[in-house]
Amino acid sequence: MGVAILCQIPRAEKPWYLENTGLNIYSAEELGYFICNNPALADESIVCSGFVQWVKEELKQSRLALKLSHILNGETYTERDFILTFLKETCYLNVKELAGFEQQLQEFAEKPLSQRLKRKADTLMQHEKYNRALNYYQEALFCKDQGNMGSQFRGTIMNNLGCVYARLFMMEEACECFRLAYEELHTFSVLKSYLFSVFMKDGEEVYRQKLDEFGVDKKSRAKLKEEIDSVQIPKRPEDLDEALENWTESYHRNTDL
Amino acid sequence: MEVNNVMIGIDLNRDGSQLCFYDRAGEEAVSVPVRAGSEQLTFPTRLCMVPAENAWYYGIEAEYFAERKNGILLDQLYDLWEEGESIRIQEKEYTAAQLLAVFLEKVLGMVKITRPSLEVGCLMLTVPGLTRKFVGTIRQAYEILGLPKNRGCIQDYKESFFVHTMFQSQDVWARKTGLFEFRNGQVQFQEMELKGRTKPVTAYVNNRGRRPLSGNPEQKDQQLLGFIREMLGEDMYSGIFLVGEEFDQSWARESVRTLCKGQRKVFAGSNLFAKGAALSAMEKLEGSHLKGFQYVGSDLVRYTISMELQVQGIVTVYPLIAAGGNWYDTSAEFEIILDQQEELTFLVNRMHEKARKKLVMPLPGLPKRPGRASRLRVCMEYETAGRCRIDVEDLGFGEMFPSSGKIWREIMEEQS
Repeated sequence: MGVAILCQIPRAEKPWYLENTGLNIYSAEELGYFICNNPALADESIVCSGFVQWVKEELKQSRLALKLSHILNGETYTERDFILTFLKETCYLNVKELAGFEQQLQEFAEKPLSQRLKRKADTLMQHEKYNRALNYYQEALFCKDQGNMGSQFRGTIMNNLGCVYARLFMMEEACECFRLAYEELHTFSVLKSYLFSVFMKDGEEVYRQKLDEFGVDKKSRAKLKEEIDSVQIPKRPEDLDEALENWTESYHRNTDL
Repeated sequence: MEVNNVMIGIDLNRDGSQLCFYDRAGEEAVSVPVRAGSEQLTFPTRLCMVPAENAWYYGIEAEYFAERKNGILLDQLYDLWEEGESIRIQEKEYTAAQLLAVFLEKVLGMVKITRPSLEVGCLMLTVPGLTRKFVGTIRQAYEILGLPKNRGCIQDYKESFFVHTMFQSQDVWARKTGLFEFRNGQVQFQEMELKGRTKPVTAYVNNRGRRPLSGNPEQKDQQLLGFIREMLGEDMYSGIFLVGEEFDQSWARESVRTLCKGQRKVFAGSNLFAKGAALSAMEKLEGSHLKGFQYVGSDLVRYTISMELQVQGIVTVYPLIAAGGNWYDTSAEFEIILDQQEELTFLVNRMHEKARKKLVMPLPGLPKRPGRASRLRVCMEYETAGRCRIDVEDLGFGEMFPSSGKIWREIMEEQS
């Protein structure tokens, strides 16, 4: 347990909209929390002149806005400098924490682009922004700067792509991604994802065929069955209109459509 | 914006009010008579509304217009202000603050002030005693007049007595100073004492006693004489003030003779509180006469309240409420971000003492959130000098963690 922070910067009346996650940010501290928990998303949705204007007008921090503006207009500016200056001046982190976060950002910046894109996509998955995550995974997959990432990396991305498609109920694509992921990774966990997506897409009979095809042993089959049986059939919502409204809202939030 | 910086003191009393201003050239507080050429300083604390003219009159005029022009006389204004009550006049509702603002505006007209927000540098109202409601009325009236908190001030009679005394030559207050106040057929005695062992030097004003006086002049003198002997006893008083229009040297010959013994400085008058208020206004605005003195009145907040907080990235004991101000002028409002605490810990220390006590305020039902993702608004306000009310509101943390809407209240009471 730490020490409470005294807020010295007023909250904004008009929020800063974080496009990637669809979040409205009302204070310097909220943004500090967001950046520290999602460093991969500290990108051009924050590092831009519109944000500098918001800092000046809404957070009433003219001096900080001027500093950020100088960084932004400098010839050798980096997103890292911009973000660190914001964090330093708004004092959400103490000196020690700031140094630790700086290190974290540095390490992240030194990673190959493909890994940074994957990390961004992973974070967007956590925020249930599936369509955006999908784009970044694909970008990571076809990115030239792969560093020394091999089949393991590609397999992980295919698996995550499978998850994204599954959450979007695009089972055809999900099955294909899990199958390709399994070809790269050969882990039971990925095979399970593949088999379950087959179950959802084509039903139990095809699922059984696949069990044979992939030579799943008896013990593992029993384990998979147990998991399938434990899934509870969702109940029909009492208020259908409300449920429909919530599902629609989630769909829009998840897909940006 | 041009501010003329006039420094005004108004003695507001149920029986009658007075106005003083600080004369920069003469470096003194000057009382303003009710009429030019008159010596009368006190005017009735009354307003009159003349519906036919839709006009307000105050003081003596109020009584005149009520009688001659069928005006509506408001003669219980002080009670109304004290209680913060509204009143309906001619189908229109007037709040206590609106009526006080009208009264003050009219009174300021005595010194040709028509735009208080531009012309008044500091206005100090002095009243016999303060309650929260009364303070609320006065603050709102100041708002109506366009006077911000640093230019619209309040103090009680005791503090006016202290300030007025400290502006006298040192031989008046070198030892104890006494004040006999004559009002409503009674005399009341208060004494001011300086305690020079502390830095700053602390000043106390205490009520010592009260006695009814007879209507018969001879009896009255004897009664007062007895009261003086009882109150002063063997103590050393370097200065004595006799205030109130009910006092007259003509009936108090023997009493005055006794008071003047031992080279004591004795003063009689009726404008001590208004003068004290005008001097306070000057002191607040630009003075340093009272530097090194701390008035410890019954309205004084005697405890400093702090909290261990991270300020500008550094952990420090941050003062929230500073001891030494009057309770009605003392408040704090701030926002903090919790780091997984489920309670607030206040650090409390008595004025001029270093030892701190901890006061823990639990926040039951505060939603579980990650560290540094709960924003709270803390409001600290005094109900009396020894009773501080702390309200804490959960503001949540933006869209990531919406507010629970919970509000907690704690009362911090001074232990005697």
